[in-house]
Amino acid sequence: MENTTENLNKLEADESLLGKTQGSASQGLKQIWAVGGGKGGVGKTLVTANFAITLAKAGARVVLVDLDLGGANLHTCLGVEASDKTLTDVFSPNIKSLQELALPTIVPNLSLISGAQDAMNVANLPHAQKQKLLNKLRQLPADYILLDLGAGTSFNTLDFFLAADVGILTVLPEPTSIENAYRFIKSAFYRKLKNIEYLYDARSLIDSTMNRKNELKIKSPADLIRNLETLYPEVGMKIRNSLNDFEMKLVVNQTRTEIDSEVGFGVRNVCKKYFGFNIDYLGCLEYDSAVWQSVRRKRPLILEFPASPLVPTIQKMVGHIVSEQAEKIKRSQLGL
Amino acid sequence: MSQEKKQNYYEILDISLSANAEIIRTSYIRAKNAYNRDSLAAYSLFDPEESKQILEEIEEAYTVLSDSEKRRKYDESHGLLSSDSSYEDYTARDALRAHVAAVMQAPTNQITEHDEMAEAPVSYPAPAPSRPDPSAIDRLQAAQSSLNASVPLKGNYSLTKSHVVDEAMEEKIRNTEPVTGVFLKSIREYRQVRPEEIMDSLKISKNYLAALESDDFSKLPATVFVRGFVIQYTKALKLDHEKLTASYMQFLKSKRP
Ligand SMILES: Nc1ncnc2c1ncn2[C@@H]1O[C@H](COP(=O)(O)OP(=O)(O)O)[C@@H](O)[C@H]1O
Ligand SMILES: [Mg+2]
Repeated sequence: MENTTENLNKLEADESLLGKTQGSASQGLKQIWAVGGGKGGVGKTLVTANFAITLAKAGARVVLVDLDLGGANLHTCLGVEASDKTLTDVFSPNIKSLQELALPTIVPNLSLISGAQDAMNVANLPHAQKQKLLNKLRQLPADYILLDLGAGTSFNTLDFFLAADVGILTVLPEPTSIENAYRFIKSAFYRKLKNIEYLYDARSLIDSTMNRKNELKIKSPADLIRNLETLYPEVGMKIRNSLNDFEMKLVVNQTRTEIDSEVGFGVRNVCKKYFGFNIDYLGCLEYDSAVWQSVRRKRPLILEFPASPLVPTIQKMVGHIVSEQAEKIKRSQLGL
Repeated sequence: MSQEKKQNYYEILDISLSANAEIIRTSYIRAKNAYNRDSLAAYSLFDPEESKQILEEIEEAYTVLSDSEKRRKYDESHGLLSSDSSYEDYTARDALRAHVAAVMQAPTNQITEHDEMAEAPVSYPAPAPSRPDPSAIDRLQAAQSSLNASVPLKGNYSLTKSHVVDEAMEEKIRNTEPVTGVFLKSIREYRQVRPEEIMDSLKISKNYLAALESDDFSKLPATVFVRGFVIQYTKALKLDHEKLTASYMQFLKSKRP
């Protein structure tokens, strides 16, 4: 079992990004969906590109943003010529809005902001710049902004993931990928907790709870939260509520058998037990050679192989998120 | 730690308070699979000792929740539901959904399950007609109905239900050569798929299915048709259909050249 205190302490203090950017309700209907996952090659780009096309084809205005800083390849998957206008320019004084960086694609309603080729400038953004970028993303004239995040668990990646309205995690049914995904979830969880902690000034309460770790039999983050709720009901409740809207989506990609697709349910159950929060398992995308063929042809799967069994599944996943989010927005507008 | 600090039985099985018997059973099996020794999902966060204890809790939860009398008493003593509530497959979410639909005056979407077995190429719904200066909510609603979004996701869309994973059987499925019709039948039974379900989804008659599953080659149709069946059959069971079909076809050719 890992030492939870250590994990908590490792994080640098950072101002809350969440308080200012999360929650589409206050921002109108614009939604940011971020696709992440611990490892490279697990299908993040496949999911981001094809979810975006599905939304655009359904009539929504969509902007895709390649935030895989260092491994940007979204433009290739969409058959868009590499441009000299990339995300790197976002802080240049000549650029007034992000919209100027958006390139049209073959899909009507869908544009693309290409990833920075030179990772050094953007890969580790200082807080203020990250905030600025997030605000600019929210201002894009679009209904949906989809972020293709890179591999790994840098603060950059975690912060974009957490600031999004919908965070989608893709994994492969393989031990290394699942381990990486848990590392990602764990880092995101502590990053989120850090933000909440800052918001409610709860650091010392968490520390004092952790000091009684053995006595309280705290083995997992879920145990920590449960004990906080008992020891300090008010703050515990606030933390619980903030964590409750930390709901991420899970896609298991490249499944070959029934057992592979069941992995998603296992991860969901384990996360609930270990972290104490819900993961929404969207389902699995089976292994289909059409995927790499479409990559090779530099055409998105949905356009190149519309008969692929992945296409209806992707439509269903997107439909599920759209309706769920619409409900959420409506609910908060109705004050429910 | 006191009792109420633990997960309750519903949380242990990852189900809602209103879950019906079928959901309880499916979730029980999934929970067991999540913590068994070969599971990918648990080993990196829980050590074997912890997993063993969790498995015991899962059994305990299932023993109580699968028995309506025990469940009622448990609910009562934990203040989970008023005792007169019935366990319908109905959630607060459905109520909310209905409410939201009414408020938005959106047409209630038809619930149409997509048939994964359908061979026809997927056709896209036409993009929503553009209106003068459509507002965001209109577009969202258009996207929503165009995506036929009211279908709840179950995680997988095959015929197979959750079943207890038997590693020995999984190993056999991976390695058995050649794949015979009799063996396919044993996989179908292991996956808990009834013959009628296969007949329905493959649109084949009882006689053909029986012939296929008993290796009665004289009653089977021409080889190209058999191949089609076996592909659909193994796909419906979520198997590695390419590999199993190839193996079966070799077997068929050796018996019926
Ligand atoms: N469902 C799938 N079936 C077959 N191949 C896939 C599938 N998903 C991904 N791949 C292959 O894996 C490669 C990596 O996928 P990609 O989406 O680029 O991953 P990431 O963005 O996470 O690095 C793709 O180029 C493709 O060849
Ligand atoms: Mg990628």
